[in-house]
Amino acid sequence: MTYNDCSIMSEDPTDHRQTITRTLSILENINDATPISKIKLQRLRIFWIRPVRNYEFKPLKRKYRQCFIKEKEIFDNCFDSSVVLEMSRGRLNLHHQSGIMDISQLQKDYRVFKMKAVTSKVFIFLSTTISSTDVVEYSRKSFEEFLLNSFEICQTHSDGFEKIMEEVI
Amino acid sequence: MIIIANMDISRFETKLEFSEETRVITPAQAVIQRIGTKDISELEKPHEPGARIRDEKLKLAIL
Repeated sequence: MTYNDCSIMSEDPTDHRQTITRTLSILENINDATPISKIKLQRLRIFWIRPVRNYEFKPLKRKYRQCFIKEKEIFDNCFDSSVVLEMSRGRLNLHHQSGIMDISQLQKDYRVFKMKAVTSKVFIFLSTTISSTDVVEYSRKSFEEFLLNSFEICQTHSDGFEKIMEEVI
Repeated sequence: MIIIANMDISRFETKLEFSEETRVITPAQAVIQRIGTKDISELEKPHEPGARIRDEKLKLAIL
């Protein structure tokens, strides 16, 4: 058996520090069983979901497209009804994708999401990805630093995005 | 008026890509057990017919 990469996914995480600790523990177990070689890509991707009430899907999608695809020039590209933005911060790359999602898409793509507790039918989604392509030796400490640093960037980006959404919509 | 609730993290993904293909000599089942992502009792369930009979004499009796 051979392998080139390793992905660990947590759905509905309640505590990001706990999720990072659990991810690192799983990687330690993998490293014990099959030593991890040099790494050419480290990546953290976080999906944010925000329920929107008192707004129908189509009008909100139209407004989002109008604001972020037709009027704003800060976004690099659009894919279907979502916008894409690429940025660099030091040796890290940030990829932003956001858009409007209805409940059926949400149920399909986020099966663990607690739907019973949510009454909204429309959601704003945001995916932020931080990646580094430096070739490095794997170590728990350095990957933990990467995850904590990347999470902070994702959180700051998410807060900024939330403010923009509140002003625009 | 639009009402927006708090933004929640729905999914948290990490990925590592290795610069060289890693060959694993440990049997796949042992790796999965070590990683601990699945219930070991489920993995230990024998799948081949007749494998539940661990007693060699009983095995011979059914052949």
